[in-house]
Amino acid sequence: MLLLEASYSFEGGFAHTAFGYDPTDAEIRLRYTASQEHREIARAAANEERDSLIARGAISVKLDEVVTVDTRARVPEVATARSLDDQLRAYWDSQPTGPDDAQRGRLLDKLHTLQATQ
Amino acid sequence: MRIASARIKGFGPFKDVSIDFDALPKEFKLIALCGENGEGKSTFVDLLVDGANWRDWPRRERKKIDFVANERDSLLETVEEIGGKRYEFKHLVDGVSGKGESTVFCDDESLVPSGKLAEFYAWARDNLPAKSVVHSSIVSHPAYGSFVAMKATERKDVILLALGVDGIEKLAAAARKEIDNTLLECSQKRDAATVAVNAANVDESTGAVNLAETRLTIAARRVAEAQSALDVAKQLAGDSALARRRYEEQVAARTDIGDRKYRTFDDLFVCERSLNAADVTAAEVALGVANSAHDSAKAALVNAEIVASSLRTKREAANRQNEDRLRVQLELDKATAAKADVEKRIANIRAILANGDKIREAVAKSKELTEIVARLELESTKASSEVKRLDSEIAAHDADRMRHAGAATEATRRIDRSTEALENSELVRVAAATLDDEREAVTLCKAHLESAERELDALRGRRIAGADERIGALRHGLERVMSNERPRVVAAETLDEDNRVVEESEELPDLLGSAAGDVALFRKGVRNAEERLRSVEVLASQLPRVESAEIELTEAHKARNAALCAADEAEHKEAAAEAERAKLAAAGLDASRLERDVMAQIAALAELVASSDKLAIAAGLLEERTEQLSAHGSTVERLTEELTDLPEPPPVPADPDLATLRAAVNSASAKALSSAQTVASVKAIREQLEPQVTRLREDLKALTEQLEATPIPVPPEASPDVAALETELATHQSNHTQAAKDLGAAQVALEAAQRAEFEAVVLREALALAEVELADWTRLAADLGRKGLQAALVDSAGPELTRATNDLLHSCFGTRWTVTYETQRIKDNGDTAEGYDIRIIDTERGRDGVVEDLSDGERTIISEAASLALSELACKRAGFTNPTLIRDESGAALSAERRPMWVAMLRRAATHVNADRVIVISHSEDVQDLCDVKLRVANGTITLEAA
Repeated sequence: MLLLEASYSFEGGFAHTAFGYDPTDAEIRLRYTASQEHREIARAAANEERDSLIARGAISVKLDEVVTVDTRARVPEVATARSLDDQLRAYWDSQPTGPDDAQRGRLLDKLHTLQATQ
Repeated sequence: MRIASARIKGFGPFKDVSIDFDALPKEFKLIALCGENGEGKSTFVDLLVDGANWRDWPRRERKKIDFVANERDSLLETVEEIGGKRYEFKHLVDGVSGKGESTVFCDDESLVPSGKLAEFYAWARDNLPAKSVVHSSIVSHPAYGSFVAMKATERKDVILLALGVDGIEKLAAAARKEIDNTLLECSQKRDAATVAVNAANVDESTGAVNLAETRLTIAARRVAEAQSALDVAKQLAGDSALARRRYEEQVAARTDIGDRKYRTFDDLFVCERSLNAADVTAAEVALGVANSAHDSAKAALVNAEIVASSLRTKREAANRQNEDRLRVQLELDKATAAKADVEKRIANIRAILANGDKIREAVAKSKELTEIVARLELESTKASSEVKRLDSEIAAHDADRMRHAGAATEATRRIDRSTEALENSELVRVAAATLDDEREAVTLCKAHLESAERELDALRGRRIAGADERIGALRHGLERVMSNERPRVVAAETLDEDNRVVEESEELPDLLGSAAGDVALFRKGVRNAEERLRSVEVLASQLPRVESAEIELTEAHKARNAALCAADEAEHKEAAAEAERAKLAAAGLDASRLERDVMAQIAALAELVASSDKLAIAAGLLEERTEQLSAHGSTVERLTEELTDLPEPPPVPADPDLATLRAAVNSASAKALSSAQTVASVKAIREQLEPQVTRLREDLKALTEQLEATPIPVPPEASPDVAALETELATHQSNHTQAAKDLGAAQVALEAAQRAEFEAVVLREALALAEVELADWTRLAADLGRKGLQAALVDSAGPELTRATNDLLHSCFGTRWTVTYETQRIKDNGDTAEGYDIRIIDTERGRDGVVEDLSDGERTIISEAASLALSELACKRAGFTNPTLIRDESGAALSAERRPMWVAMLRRAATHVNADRVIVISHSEDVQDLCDVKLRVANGTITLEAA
């Protein structure tokens, strides 16, 4: 049993490191990674690759799909902000209708008042 | 939250047990807590976590640890490290009364000095991590409600707690409270401003002042005029009472006649109007109209009944025709269906005949594949039995290794004990060698002491003997004098003798002092020698123990070396067996997969193979079915012609509405009766009123004539009314005073209005400021709220949580499942809602859905991965350091095949979070064996066993 590792990217298509390998009489497991968004198209490409390997003499080709999840935060800056003030500033920066500088100053003053009384 | 040690006394089944996790070797990372059902495994971990930290008994809602305390002095004592501090918790409970006290120490300082429970709860609330985070991350129990089992809002709350930013919601709540306060303030200011604006009617007040001034001027002028009129009237006032009385009598007589005339006229008017209203002709005309309407309604009803009878006949005929058509149509449908069925069967038979070659090939191929399956099954069974053999071999090697490792540990302990026993071995040997010398030294010192004591006694004897000698010498001298010797000579000789004795006795005190000093010195020397001898004897008595310890040390070294060699050998064997097993397992797995593939091919051929029986009889059947088709075709043609010959009946109109016509006849009849009654009533009224009108006309004529005959009286000259003028003057004076008062009041109102106008301006400015404050508080509350910064923070933790969860799953369970956390969803109305859904991509089954759709076992895997990933997040963000992970049968739903993967996942998570220990409660022996050591709970005790 031969394990071929491959990956699919939307820009570069299907790629693995053993394209030049002679698959004659080999039992192959093709393990490929694909992002969650491109699973269908990657599966089609993997099927094509399987047919190609079988045409080139492979006995059998098993497909092994590995899904990669690329999650992004809406406001990643809030996670790295140290203080609550900085978190609020980062949040306001991400808002299309965030407060202006004068209102930000007033809001932070009020926040400090609340923190002092907690 | 790291548990260092614990002592449980008088709780649940535990009489008095202690365990010191710090004393266990560091390599005992995974600890299996095992024992029969009901022995107290879960009770143990519940007391360690919920009991010690929050005094809770988590299995019953709102119950505390006194629920399971069963002694008067039950004690729960734990030492834990939380957030880098080492806390000692101590809970005392009276199992009878349920009362108790709780204390917490940190660096020997009491943090709950009074021990009162209320103080402890307050301290725990402020200083310990949130219970929901602990239960959904580092402690996992199916009954606590895992992270996966929570609702979306609960998951978000836990994420916020794990991020350590749960205080934001408190700030948001405080901001919302400020909104209420500011709203109230705005409302009060707005009301006050409205009141001030209403009060600030300066123009109106100025007009009121001007009006009051005008009124005052007019009132003054009227007072002057009234005063002058009163003066004139007083001069002209005279007495004309008689002329006035006559005039009043004449006026009264005319008035009486006039009143009677008007009353008569009124009565006449009323009677004439009633008479005119009683119109007999109109009533009779209405009666005629009602009668003719009644007749025409009756005629219409009779005609309609005739038409309805005719329509009934037509409808019955049409129904009979329709029934005939329907019967023929049903027969036709049946024949058509039979024909179609036969056609389909013929098509099937032809298809089978056409696929004859394929079917024969499929039968042959299927046989071939069945043989391959049998061969693969055999190979798979062989591999499986070989794997089982290797498993038992690995287990045996592992047991050997653990046994030898235990022996090595025991030998190490023996070495430690022997080394400890040999710490002062040199001293012991020296003591044994010098024991005889010390004994001799004691004997010598005692001999010296005896000699010195004898010397001292001799000196004391000499002192007593000196006194006796002097007395004896004096007596002897006296006796010689008594015997007539010469007294002078005797006295001289006696005196010489006495002087000699005195001289000798004068030396004795010094000698005595010296001898006493020697005795004291020798006594001290004896004591010191004896003490030294005792010490030496004690040390020398340890010589046999030292000698046996040396032998023990040598033997223990030998045993340890042998055990370590044996353990290494067992490990090598185990590794070799594992490698072989992995190879065989992979081969077996490949064989199984190949078998599945072949089975799938056989299943694909099954349909063709099943058709092989039909192929044999297809030719004969085709002829039979062709004849059937011809018969059905002729039947269909015959029935179609018969249906064409049967005409479709024309439509029959609906029946006329007989009920409506009968109601119209009844209504017309009632109206005719009512009109006849009206005619009779009008005639009776006219007969009563006509004589009354005639009499009243005559009375009116007589009274008119009488009034014309009475002369109109002429009024006498009126005398001025002095009293009225005086009253008028007083009224005008009063009006003047009132006008002056009104002017003063108007001037006061004007001043108040001017003040209110100023106040309104100030209040409007304050209201504008308060509205800005309100806008700011509203914005801050929204930005700090659950849909604001909190949602952004929860969302920002998503990538880290996703990465950690998938890392655990992919590393330990393969690439089948991939988890995503969805924090937002679009509603069907287009609005965006914050949520926290867990979605699973299952590449093996091709599913992509929410976690709730998974089976119990699959959900357990995802739940554990999510829980451990959450632990990782909490350790990084909220300061859980070196935690003790606890799993209370959380993997019980897993199959035997997946349990090793689960244990591997626990080990990986423990490495990621740098866990101190992982305590795993499990009844599965394979899980217990995969752990590093076992803690067995039985009969109220906990004992350590090698895994």
